[in-house]
Amino acid sequence: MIFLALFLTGVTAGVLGAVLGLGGGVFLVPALHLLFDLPMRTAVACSIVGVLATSAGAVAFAPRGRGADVELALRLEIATTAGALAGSLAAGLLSSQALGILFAVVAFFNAGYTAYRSRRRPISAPPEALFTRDYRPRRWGIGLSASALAGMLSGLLGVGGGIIKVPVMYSVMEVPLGVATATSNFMVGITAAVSALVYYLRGDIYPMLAIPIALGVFAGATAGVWLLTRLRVSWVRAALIALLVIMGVQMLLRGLGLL
Amino acid sequence: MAQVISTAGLALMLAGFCGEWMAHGTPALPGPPAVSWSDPALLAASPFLLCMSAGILLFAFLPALRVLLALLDYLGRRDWHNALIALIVLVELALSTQTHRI
Repeated sequence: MIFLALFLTGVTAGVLGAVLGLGGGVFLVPALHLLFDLPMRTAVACSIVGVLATSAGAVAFAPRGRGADVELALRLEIATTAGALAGSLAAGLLSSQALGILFAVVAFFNAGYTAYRSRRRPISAPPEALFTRDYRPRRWGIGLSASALAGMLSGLLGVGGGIIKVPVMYSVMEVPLGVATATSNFMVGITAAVSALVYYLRGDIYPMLAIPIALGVFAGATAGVWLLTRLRVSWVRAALIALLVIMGVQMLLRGLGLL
Repeated sequence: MAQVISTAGLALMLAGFCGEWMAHGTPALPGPPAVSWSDPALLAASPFLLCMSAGILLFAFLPALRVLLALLDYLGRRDWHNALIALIVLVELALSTQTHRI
C-alpha cells in the first residue's frame, strides 16, 4: 500500500512539474517529509531522483515542436551551475532565515511581474500560444542573473530552480510559456544530476523508496507534457502565479520563524 | 537516444523493484541504499538491488548525456559558438560534482 501511495504522490508531482516547468521537488520534499514521515535528507534524496524522472519524462517524450529550446537552456545553465557552485561555497554565510526571506521576495516579484505582463498585453494582440517558433529571447542580462540566483537558491534551499526560471523566461525574456516550461524541465534535470550523484555516492538514495516515486513521476510527467499541449496559456499562467504566491508565503513564514 | 536511455533506465528500475519485492516481500523501509561501484559489498549485493541502482545511475547520467549529444551535434554542424557553450556546461557539471563531494 505504501508503494502505491508513493507512486501516486510521484504521479501528482510529475504532472504538476511537467505543466509548470518545475522539477517536482517543491511538492515532493514536503510531501515525503510530512505525509510519509521521511527524514529530510532521505526525502530530499528521493525527491532528486523524482526530479530526474520529471526531466527524463518531459524532455524525452515531448511531442515534436513542443520541446525545450536547447540553445537557450545551455546558455542559462552556465549561469545556473555557476550560481549553484557559488551557493555551495557560500552556504555558511547566510542564515536559513535570510535565505527563506530572499526566496520569498523573488517569488513575490516573479508572481507580480508575470501578472503585470499579462495585463499589459494589448486586446488586439493575437491569442498567445504556449508553443511557437516565432520568438527571440530578450534581456539576457536579467535572464542570466536570475538563473544564477536560481542555481544558488536551489542548492541552498533544495527548491527554486524552475520556480524562478520559468517566470523569468516567460515574463522577462519573452519566451513562450510552453517553451519556457519545457526548457526549464531540461535545465532542472542537469542541475539535479549533480546532486543525485553526490547523494548516490554518499549512500543516501534508497531504491525501494525512490523508485516507486520515480516511476510515478515519470508517468505523471509524460502525461503532463501531453496535457500541456491542450491547456490555455491563461490557465498555466494562473497556476504558476498561484504557486509562486503560495511558495513565497511559505518561505516568508519560515524565514520569520513562524512556520 | 534520450528516449532509449530513459526507457532502459525505467525498465531496470521496474525489473529490479519488482524482483526485490517478489523475492523478499515488503522490506523494512527505507531498505538497503543504492550500491556504489566502489562499494566493497558490490559483489555481495542482490542482483535486483544492482538492477535498481543501475537504473538510477542511468537517469543521473542522462542529463549530461543530453548535453554531450548537443555538443556533438553542434560540432557536426560546425556551430563552434554553441559547441563551446555546451562544453562549458559539461565542465561546470564535472566541477560541481567534485565540489559537492568535498
